[in-house]
Parts: sequence; C-alpha cells; structure tokens
Amino acid sequence: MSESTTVASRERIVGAITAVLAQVLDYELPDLTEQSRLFDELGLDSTGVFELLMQLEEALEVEFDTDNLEMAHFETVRSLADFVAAEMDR
Amino acid sequence: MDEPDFTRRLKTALLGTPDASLAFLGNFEVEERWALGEHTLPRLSAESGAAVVNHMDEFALLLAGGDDHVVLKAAPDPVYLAYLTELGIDLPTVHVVADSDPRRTVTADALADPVTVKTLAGLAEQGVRLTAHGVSDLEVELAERAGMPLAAPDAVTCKAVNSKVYSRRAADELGLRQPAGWACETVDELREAFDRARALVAEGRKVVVKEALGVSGKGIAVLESERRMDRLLGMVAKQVEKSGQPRLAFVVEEWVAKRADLNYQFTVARDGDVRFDFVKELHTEGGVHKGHRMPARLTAGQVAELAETAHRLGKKLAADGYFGVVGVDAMVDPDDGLYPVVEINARNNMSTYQARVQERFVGPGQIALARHYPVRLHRRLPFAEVRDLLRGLLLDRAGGTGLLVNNFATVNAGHRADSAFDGRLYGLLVASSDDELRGLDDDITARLEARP
Repeated sequence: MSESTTVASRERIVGAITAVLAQVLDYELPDLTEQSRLFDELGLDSTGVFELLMQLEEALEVEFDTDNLEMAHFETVRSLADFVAAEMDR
Repeated sequence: MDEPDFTRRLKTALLGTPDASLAFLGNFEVEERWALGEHTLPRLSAESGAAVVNHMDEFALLLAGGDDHVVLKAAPDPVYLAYLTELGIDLPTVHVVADSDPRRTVTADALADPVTVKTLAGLAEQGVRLTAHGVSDLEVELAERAGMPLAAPDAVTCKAVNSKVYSRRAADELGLRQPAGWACETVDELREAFDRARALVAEGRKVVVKEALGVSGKGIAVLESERRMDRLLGMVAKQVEKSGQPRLAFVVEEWVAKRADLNYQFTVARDGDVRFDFVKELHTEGGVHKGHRMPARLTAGQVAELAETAHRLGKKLAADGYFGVVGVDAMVDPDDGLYPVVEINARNNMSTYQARVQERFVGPGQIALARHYPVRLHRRLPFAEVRDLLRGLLLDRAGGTGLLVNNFATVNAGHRADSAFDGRLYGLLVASSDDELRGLDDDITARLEARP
C-alpha cells in the first residue's frame, strides 16, 4: 500500500469515528482531535461502546472481532483508529 | 426524637433492635461480582473509572452511626471529617485496610489484609455484625474468615433476586404493569425474543437487550435493525459455544416513552415486615442525567401506588428468602401512568446513603438534588481547598441551603503520579426552591471549573 493510500484510509477511519461518535453521543461535540479522550472527555459509556462498534462496522463495511476488546482501544480517537485499522487489515 | 433515624430503622429490620452495632462495607458495583462467569454483551475487558467506583465505599460514613464501624480503602481527608463533625454528624469508627488496590472493592482489600480481618474478628466478639452494599461470595468469605455473621441473606439468594430475569417474572406474577418484554435463559429463548422484537422494530418501536446482572445503565444494547440483532445473537451464541455453559440471562424489552424516571426504596425486615422508605426522581437537563431530586414531583395517588407495589414486592422477596434494603427503578409515562417496576436492586442504592443525612438536613418544604461534579485534576485536591473554593456555598446547618459533600474519596481516587485524572465530587444540594437550587448548582459548577 502506498503512503498516500494509507493516509487516505486513515482519514476515512478518523472521519467515520468522528461521525459515528456524534450520532452515538447525541450532542454537539467539540472539535475532535486524535487526542480526544472518548470516556473522560466526550462522555462515552460502556453502553455506547457496542453502539459505536456496530455503527463503525456499518460505515466502514467491516466486521470486528469483538472477543478481545480492551479498554485501551477506546481511550482516544487515535487508539480507536489504530484498532479499526488493524481490524481492517486482518 | 419522635422517630428513630433511617439507620436505626435499618438495624431494627436487619437485627431486630435499633441499638445493634454494624460494620459497613461499601462494595459498590457488586453486580460485577454477581456477573462473573455469566455471558455478557460485547464489552470492554476493563472498565474506566474502577478506582472511582471502588472509592465510593466512603459513602458508608454517612449511613453508619456513632456506634458503628466502617471499613474503608483509604483514610478520609481529616479536614473533610472535621467538616462532617462540625455539621453535628456522629461519625462511626473507621478502619482502613492496608495495601489498598484501586482495582479492588473494599471487601477484596479487606480479605487481603490480615490485620483488618483480625480487627473484624475482635469486633465480632463484641457483637458487631457485618453489612454490605450488596452480598456476593466475597462478603460471605470475609464474614466467615472474621467470624462476624452477616446481617443479610446468603450470596446465592442475593444474586438471584438481583437478576432482571427475577424482576420481570416478579412483576408478571404480581400483575404489575411493565413494558413488553421477555426473560431469556438459553440462546433459543434469546432467538425467539429477537424474533418477537423484529415485529416491534418493524413498527418503528425501540427494543433493547439487557444483561440480567448488568450494572444499572450498563450492559444494554439497542436492537435497532435486523443486522444489529443478527450480529448480537451471533456474538452471544459464539460466546456460549466457546464456554460450554448453555445457561444465560438476558432480558429483551421494549423501550417505552416516559416523562420521568423514579427510584424508590423499601426495607424488608428479617421477619418479613415491609417499610416503604422514599421515592426520588431522576433529574435530567437537556437529556443528560444530573442526579436525584427529592421529593419526586408525583401526586399523592402515584406515591400511594408505589408504596402499595413496594409492599407487594417486599412480601414476595421475603417469601424468596431476602431481607434488607431494596431499591426499585420505575417510570412515569407521558400520560402520568406508572411503570411501577422496571428493575429491582435488592441491595443498597446510592439513595440509601443519603437517607440519614437527608432526614436530618433537608427541612420541611425544602428540596434537594443529589449529584456529582466531575473534576479533572493534575494533583491531589485536599478538602481544605474545596472548602475555600466553595466558601458560602457549602451547607453549614440543618435547615440551611448549600452543598453537603457526602463523598470526598472519589475526588482523588484516580490519582497517579505524573498524570492527569478524573474525579467526582459527590454531594447533596439543599435549597428552598428550584430556582435557588439551580443558582447554587451553577455557582458551584463555575467555581470548580475556574479552579486555579
């Protein structure tokens, strides 16, 4: 994969995460960066996690392996994007 | 005093005398322990905020009385204790565990600390009895190790009556109104429930699936589409197959329209006597849950219906071997009709810990809001600083207005060297009108946010 394709798919993943977070959390989110913290800062809760994953699967047309979900994957927009990217490469 | 306070009434219910002495364990989220080995919805392997939740144990300070004992994960801030004493609250004797681990409940900490076990053993000889937020196998183990009998039923009974499967069946048996739904104990039952749910979803209604032993508000998923249901069923079926344990416990139910959420409490005595304690209303602003408002804005008829339901549920719980505190979640529909039982929590609830101070500090005609203020910190925040910061806004006497801080351990619970952390300042906000309450609330929020 060329570098520009990687950047493009990363942008697509982060874009999907931002759009899905706005829907799941259902309030006007501040401007997100890759450092934005999902639980502490944005108010995601464990109920929202399943919803978030399902909507991400639908937006990116992928199926995640949900057996090994870890808290660390959901810490920030960046860590979630890393998890999604790894799942898409699987 | 004309009427014994809540804690003395509780002792009468648990032990037959208001003068008994208890040792309290604030093992919040005991549900996590009950749910061990149960199948769950897809979830994260470690929950955020475990340290804060475990330090909610300090709530027990305000439920216990002067002749009681409380086991805590950390020594309370001495200035906070002085503040409570100045309010005229008779505090219990505090026993702090050695080597507290933020990921453990206070019970697990106590079990790992021979000195605490020995202290409890000594107290047991003086007739002190053990009481907990909720009883799981860990509290039973501590009771056995310390030789201190639990003033509660056994862990198996406590877990069984806390299942949402039990709540649904109890409501069915007593003919109490509840949203359409199904209790499921096998994958086939879950599949059938999803098939029924499809019909509701097709009509544009919202259906959710809940873990029977999930913490309130957690372990819930919305069944929004056919795909979502297939995916979820697939995940649960896979979990069941991998584990070789076919029994599961979920409830599938319609998400009905409501005007308000309620939480009410009653106490079932060891002899089966039932006493309705109070009802509170969940306070939301802009759709966000902000706390519990007391008194709840209900008609006398609605309160009577809840009290009647409490007595019927209490009799059933007693017949099934339970005694102690019971909290029930309920709802008011948009036409002011009640759903009198949405979920039974046969354990202490957050409201339980407010009961004693509420009776004492919320005067006739006053209102109170129990809530927490989130604080993001870079170092430990001592109570003395909070007292200075909130000068003029803290409650200083019964009948006054202001914030009564009812847990300070949760502020610094997440403290780690060299990194920022999130804490919660819990309190009971007392005022004479909704306007005054809102004003106080805004002032406190602003001062905490403007913290240097």
